[in-house]
Amino acid sequence: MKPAPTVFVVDDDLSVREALSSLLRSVGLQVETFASARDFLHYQWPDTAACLVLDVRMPGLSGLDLQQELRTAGLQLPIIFITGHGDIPMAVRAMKSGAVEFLSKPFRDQDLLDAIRQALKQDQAIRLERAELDKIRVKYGTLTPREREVAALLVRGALNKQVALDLQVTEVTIKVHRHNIMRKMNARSLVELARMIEKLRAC
Amino acid sequence: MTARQRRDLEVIQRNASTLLRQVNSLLDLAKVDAGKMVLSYVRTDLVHLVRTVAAHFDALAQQRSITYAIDTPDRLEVEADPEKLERILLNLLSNAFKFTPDGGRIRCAIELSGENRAVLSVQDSGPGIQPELRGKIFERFQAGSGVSHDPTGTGLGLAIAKDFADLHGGTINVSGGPGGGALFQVEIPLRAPQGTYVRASEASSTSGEVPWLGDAASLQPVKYEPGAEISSQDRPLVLVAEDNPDMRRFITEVLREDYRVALAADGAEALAKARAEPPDLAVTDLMMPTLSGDQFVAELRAHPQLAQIPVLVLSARADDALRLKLLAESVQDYVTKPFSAHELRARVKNLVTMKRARDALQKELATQDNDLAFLAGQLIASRRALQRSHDALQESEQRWRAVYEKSAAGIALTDPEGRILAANPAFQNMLGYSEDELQKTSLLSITPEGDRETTQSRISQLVEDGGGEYHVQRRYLRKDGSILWANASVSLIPGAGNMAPMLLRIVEDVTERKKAQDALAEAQAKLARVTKATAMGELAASIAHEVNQPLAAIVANSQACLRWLTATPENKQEVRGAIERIVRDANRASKVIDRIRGFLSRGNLRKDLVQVEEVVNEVFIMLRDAASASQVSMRFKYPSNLPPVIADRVQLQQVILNLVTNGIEAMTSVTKHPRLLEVEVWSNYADLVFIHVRDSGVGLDAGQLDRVFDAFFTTKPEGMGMGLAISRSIVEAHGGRLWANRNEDQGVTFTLTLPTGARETS
Repeated sequence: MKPAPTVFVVDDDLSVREALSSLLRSVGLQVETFASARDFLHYQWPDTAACLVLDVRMPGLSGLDLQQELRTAGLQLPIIFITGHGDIPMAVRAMKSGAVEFLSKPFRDQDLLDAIRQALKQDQAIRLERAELDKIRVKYGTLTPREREVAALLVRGALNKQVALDLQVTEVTIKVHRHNIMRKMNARSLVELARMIEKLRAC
Repeated sequence: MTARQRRDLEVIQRNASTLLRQVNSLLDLAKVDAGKMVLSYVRTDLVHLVRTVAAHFDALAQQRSITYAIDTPDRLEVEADPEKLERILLNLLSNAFKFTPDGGRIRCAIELSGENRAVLSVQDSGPGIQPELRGKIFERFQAGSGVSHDPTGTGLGLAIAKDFADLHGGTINVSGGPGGGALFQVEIPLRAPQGTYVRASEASSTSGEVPWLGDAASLQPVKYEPGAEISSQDRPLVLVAEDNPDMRRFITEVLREDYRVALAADGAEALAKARAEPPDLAVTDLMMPTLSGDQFVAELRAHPQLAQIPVLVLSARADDALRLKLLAESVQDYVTKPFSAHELRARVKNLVTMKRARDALQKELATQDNDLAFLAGQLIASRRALQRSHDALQESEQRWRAVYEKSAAGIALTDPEGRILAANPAFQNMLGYSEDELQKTSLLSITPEGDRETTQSRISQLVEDGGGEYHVQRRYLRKDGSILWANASVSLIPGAGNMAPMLLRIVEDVTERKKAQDALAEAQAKLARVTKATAMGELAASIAHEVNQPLAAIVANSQACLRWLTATPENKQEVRGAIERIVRDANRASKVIDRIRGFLSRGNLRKDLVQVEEVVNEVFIMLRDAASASQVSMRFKYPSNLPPVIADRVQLQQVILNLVTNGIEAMTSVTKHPRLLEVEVWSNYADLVFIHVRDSGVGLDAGQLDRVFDAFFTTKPEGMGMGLAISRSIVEAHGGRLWANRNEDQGVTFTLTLPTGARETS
């Protein structure tokens, strides 16, 4: 069975943590609460679908600081900010940095649940993308250095003949390479191969 | 001749020969660099040369039980410069003897290498040379850079050996000998290059006399005496970082009479000692192993507690650029070796005196507002000390002269009739007179007419009592006729011998503060409504935040509650939990509202005469249970004749309650030492009552200390971050001040001042 998605709640206020925990559990979500950004950074979160509900104003590391820390560490976790009083510049900053939603306390439960649903969807997409990339990377890893060279030229649109000329080998050799590349990368067309290699380059 | 004189002479002799050696080495290197070093080739018996030179070490080998072997063929004729070869061999053998422990082994050998090259090798059983350093040891000045670990070397010997070997078209290298130690091998061609003029062999091709070997003592294995520290607690502490043992001993001799001296053989050791006990002065060499002098200074400066320590640099390097850079950036003084004991003593004394004066001054400035009395006491104590001894007089004069000249507080001496005998620059500036002019006027003429009588009577009282002091806020008349408001502390310096009694007057200019206070009071009165509205505006954010927190929890709990109720099966335990939290959070919200309301009503400040000790006792009773539950002991100290303050009793109670509660909460995680909350109340019996609330809790760092009074700032998980902000507002509304200091051991002291009734009524 797939584990239930987890919502991490980081808020320095015990009342808010307890209340959100109860509310989110009542709709069947897993909840983990943290009293400070520091605690959350020290936590090893499991590899499940997840999102973060984060208080903006906290002693020590603030919510915005935590968002920055996660970004710096290359961790893509969708964030919903909650704040005691709506501070517009802060909201703008948070949203610009990629927050899913910015809610002022007190908020309607439905608003929070909607935001969480959206955040989990986003997390799902990130995960799929990452899984696909991992697959491509594994397949690409099976190519020989020569095949990588050939693949790079092919996806740039070079014909077999041109590649052969570039690499100082016969056209037949290139055909063999090309066949092996398509097989190993599990690509049905040159266009698909190009798309895969593009993705590898983008990251 | 005493043993100590003998040792001093030996040190002098040794240093002279080391110096001579270093000068010769430098000259040689300079010549090599300039291409002026020419070999004068002589047909020489290498074996004879080696045996002659090596024989110089026989006595030393015997004395130190070193097995010393010379392995050579019977004869080996080479065309070379015998003097240069001697130098190479001498340097190698000196090193070998320096690094080989007593009872060790040294072997010197000559062999043929192929047809036309000779190899001269010196092998020892010392510590050897790490493979990664082997390339470096032939570079210049390596002795002081942690490569050779030889604190007495010039760092030039091996560089010269290499240059001389190169001149012969030869090579020099080092490796690990079989069975440890170092093996140096010099390979040179047997014949001079084609066409070189080669003299025939001379009878005395080797000089037979080796001038720089006159210091066999320096070839003893390197030792230094880490424990040789001389102490006597009260004297200023001078930390000496110097890698040369003789130099360390010399500096110690010079300074031990007047200072405690801590010794370090390199920068790293010095840094560790400075951390353990910050000295009043650091005296450091520049070239030292492990951590050089300039690195050590940089480390000191980077360390907040050590950044203020003055540094005196000693160096043989007359390097102007480095000196200027160090002087500009981080170092107070610089002495070039050689220097005299007198010069060192004078410079050290100068720096230590400055440092101590600055410490005193800083302390004085830090507590200027309320501690003028303390300064006065110090000055008088100093004057008394002056009378005791002439030496102490000079030292103390210098020290206090600095305080006197640099103090931001005005200091003046008058006789009992009010004639001004002396006035410091601050005092002159405050009143706009020069010292000469002041000496021609009297205290009464710089006192506004209406105040003269009271001034006169206060002084008469002081003289009559034969001692003591008083503190007043009073007015002075400036030269331009304007009024200066000042806090003045006046003390009587009793007469002694043929010296008449004097009055010491320390004056702090509070005109600006007074003006600001008056302006503020006026503005507050006129704009009471606006002020209140502004305060409301600032508070709006706080209210929103503080109330929304529990409110958000209540809303979320209610919604959760509804969901749990409609779930199948209904989850009663969760419903119950949610409802309990709703009740708790609603109470919390209402408490927030109450506190904010209390804050807002400060406009209706009641002003009664209140005894602070009563209020503190009430607070202690209220918090007795809370304190004992947290295992905190509470202590309260106050004098019996405390004057009343003018305050709103309820609000004052709120403030003290808040500070004491904070203190107790700050100690809940303390386990290492007793949890002690102490309240101390005292008065300067002039115009202020001081209340200190001291805890032994977790403390605050410097950043937190700046922010504790900001609204919303809190270190407590459940805190509002409003308590101290409100407390400060209340205290300021009473005309007092509230601030926080870190304690020296642990925890924080909050201090608040309140005006006493005395000032209002006088």
